[in-house]
Amino acid sequence: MAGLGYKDFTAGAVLTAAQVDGYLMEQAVMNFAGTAARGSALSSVQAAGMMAHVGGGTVTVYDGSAWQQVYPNTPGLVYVAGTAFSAVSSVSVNNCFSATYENYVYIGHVACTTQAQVGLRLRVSGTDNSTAGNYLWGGAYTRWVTSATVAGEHSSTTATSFPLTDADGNFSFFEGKLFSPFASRLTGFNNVQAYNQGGSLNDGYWEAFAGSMTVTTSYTGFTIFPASGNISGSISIYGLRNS
Amino acid sequence: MADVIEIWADTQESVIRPMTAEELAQREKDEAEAEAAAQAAAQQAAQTAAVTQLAIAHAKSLGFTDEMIAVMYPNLAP
Repeated sequence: MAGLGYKDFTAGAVLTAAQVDGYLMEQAVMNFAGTAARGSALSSVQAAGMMAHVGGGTVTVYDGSAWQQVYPNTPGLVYVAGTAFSAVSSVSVNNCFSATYENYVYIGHVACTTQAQVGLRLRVSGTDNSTAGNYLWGGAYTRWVTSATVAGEHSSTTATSFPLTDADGNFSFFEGKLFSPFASRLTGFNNVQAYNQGGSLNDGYWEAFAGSMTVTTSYTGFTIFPASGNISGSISIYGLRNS
Repeated sequence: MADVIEIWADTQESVIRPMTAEELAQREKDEAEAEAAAQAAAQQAAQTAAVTQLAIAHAKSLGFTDEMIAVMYPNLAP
């Protein structure tokens, strides 16, 4: 049976066993040594809404058919790092990749002082990998203007970075994933960006990039940078839990 | 000005510092490459525009109207 809710006991009122169970026992966060002890004690009375601590700070709630963990909260997407930046030539994020997560998501926006591509370089021990040809990528775009919609493609086998934005943009939103940057195998990359070309509200642009490193270096961070000028904006990085 | 913002995810430290000589050299290289790529793209765009105009002129000399050309060759934007 589920808990009975709230009762305002008055002086001299009779407290019955059912009231103790309904108003107190079944509405408390009960304390057990583990899930086995919880099962032994509650299997015949468990009801939706009952809560139990099962050791180690883990709190569970019965949803009517099974016990679910409610604390600690274990989201699939975990914030790792991020920063806002203003009028800088590059942004380096160190030690954001580790064995804790295999894959990562990043999201942000960037405004350039000139129309310039913003690139991403992987780094380790405080040094960017800027070797030509280590970044292999391709992209497809759609551009819509007042007079026409055009589509096309970009690619590079000689790049020194992955592209976050296209060279014609000066204000872009971007999001993407980095696959296994910390593992000693090829790092994968995909990225989507949208912007108003040249700052014109009548000239929009969308491009998706994907690619891979050609070397199996283990990286611990990355740098984003414009091909020229300075950038302002923000970026956040999240780790993706495998379980 | 060429400043770098550098953060450390594990310690939450953050610094803004001038670029090192090595970073400045890489930046100059990046800028030169971007300029070369932009020039190449502009050249290609100019070539494409010229060929487009020739194609449109040729199609018109055969009697096709702008509407017909747009339907037959949607990528041939004047």
